Amino acid sequence: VNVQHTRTWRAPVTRRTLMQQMAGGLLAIVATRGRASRAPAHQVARSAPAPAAPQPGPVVSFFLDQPYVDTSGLGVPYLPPRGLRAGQPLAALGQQEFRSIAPHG
Amino acid sequence: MVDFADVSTKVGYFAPERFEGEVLDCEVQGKVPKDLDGTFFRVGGDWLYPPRFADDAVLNSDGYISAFRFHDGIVDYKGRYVRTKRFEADRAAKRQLYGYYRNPYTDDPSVRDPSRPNLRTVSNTAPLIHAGKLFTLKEDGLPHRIDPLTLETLGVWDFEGAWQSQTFTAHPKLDPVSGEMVAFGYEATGLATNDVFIYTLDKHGKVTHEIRTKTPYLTMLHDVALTQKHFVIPMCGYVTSTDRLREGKIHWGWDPSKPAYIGVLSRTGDGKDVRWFKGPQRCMMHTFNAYTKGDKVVLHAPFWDGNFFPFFPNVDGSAWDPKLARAFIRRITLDLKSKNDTWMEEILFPFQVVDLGKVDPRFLTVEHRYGFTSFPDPKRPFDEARAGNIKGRVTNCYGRFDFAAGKFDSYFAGDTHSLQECSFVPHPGSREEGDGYLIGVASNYAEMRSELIIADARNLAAGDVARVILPFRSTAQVHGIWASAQELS
Repeated sequence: VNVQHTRTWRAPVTRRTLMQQMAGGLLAIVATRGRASRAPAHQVARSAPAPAAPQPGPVVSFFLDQPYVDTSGLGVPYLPPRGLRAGQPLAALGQQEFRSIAPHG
Repeated sequence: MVDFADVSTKVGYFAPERFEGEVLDCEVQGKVPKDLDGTFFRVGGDWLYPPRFADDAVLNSDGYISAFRFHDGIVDYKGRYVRTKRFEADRAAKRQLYGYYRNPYTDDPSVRDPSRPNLRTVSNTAPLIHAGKLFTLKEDGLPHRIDPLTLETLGVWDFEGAWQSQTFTAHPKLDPVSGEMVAFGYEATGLATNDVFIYTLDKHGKVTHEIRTKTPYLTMLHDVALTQKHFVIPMCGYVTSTDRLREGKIHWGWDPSKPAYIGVLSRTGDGKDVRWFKGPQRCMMHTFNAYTKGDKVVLHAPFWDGNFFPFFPNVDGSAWDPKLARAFIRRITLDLKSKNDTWMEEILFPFQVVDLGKVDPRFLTVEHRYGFTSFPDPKRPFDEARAGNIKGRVTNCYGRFDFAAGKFDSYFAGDTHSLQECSFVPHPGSREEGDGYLIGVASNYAEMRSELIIADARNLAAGDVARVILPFRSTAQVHGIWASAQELS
């Protein structure tokens, strides 16, 4: 959906990225002004001209019982429990682990 | 092909559901009281297609109405999308055509029409029952009439041509004494206009009175309050303009330099008598109730200290500040005889609540004692391993707040739960304020399902008397209402 957007800056925070960062225990999302970059974070970091002071990037945080994109990067990241989105990550789970996460799954 | 993978907030419990369906004779824990005879209607949003912009407001998702129907201790459930013009256009295109929340300039060219912004409403905010008809509402468009049994969308309703505003509030006020409804529309003459039209409708749904007025500055008018004599309009620092919208921004920004105002006008006047009281920065979204006592108007409202919508950015470029996103139950007294154009404000309970407040509907517009709302109690247990790292950030309690005595009673939903807005259901035949049930849906983040809570409103600490278990996540509601079988017959 982000690629349709060209008028104003918006920081794309993708679920794929979120999942990567959840796995790595780090939430650092690439945001650019203008055209959105869809390159993985590590590739963008490699091609950066010089190391600069880390800038906070958008994070998915949680407020009033809903996640939201915190563009300031100051929010506490929201980490949902594993295996609970459309069944997709469940494939990697063993039967016992699956039942413990989603007993009514 | 539908792909939500780029929408980072649609994870876990918040993944879109995208189905319609019904459950007959729902599973119940406890015993559903047999005197509950009627329907609990809920309206919220659920994305049929992914939003065009990942950081769009959740308030922009497609309208969805659900109903828990109670009869003789049995509960049936049904849920359907509201068939708005927008929903049907997206369905035909098989993708999301509409851009940011209330910004038609960001729409696909095939549907872009800033001259008729009300045609892009998603009707996802609140249900309404008046004069025997059921509607879904959103403040940027007209009501959609819904069949109360099938939940089919019957079409847009303009009160047989008598409603002249392009918009209709999500919070019309019902007067239980006269049966009248007083409702309004803002941005009434088009996008980013400063016109407010206020209408009184009799108990048959006929328009009997119209007031046209303007606000001190163009802003969101989400909720109001009604007394037996006065119409009360709180407004605060959300701002917009045609320039802002043409720049492709989301409809509202928060301007912390803007003062809050509360307007008071006669229900039967022509709008020339509106008196604007001015106060400090507040974010005034929802109200409990108001009443007129002598020369004073008393308003009970769970207002916020500042901007509480993280997706409506501050216009000065500063980061959204969660420390200002705190709501307290406030009593605001507006003295109509005073030459001082501000109000007296008291915080009645010294802890944060969620601003989705309700009262016993039989006491709307008149002096009342109790208010009900949800609140986060960080001292209660939360199972982060099963429900996510949001301990201290979930709304886990309902409260009955005694505004006269300063006491409260609370209900705790469970250690993997958060609570959506509650509704008060009076005991049939009872006239005592607060005698009834408190009902509302809990999200069980661990079990990935919705549970309808039914509690005795006079003894919340005793826990629920029954839970209706849905074997799935029912679309999160924004607002809900109870309608007795009699009201719908």
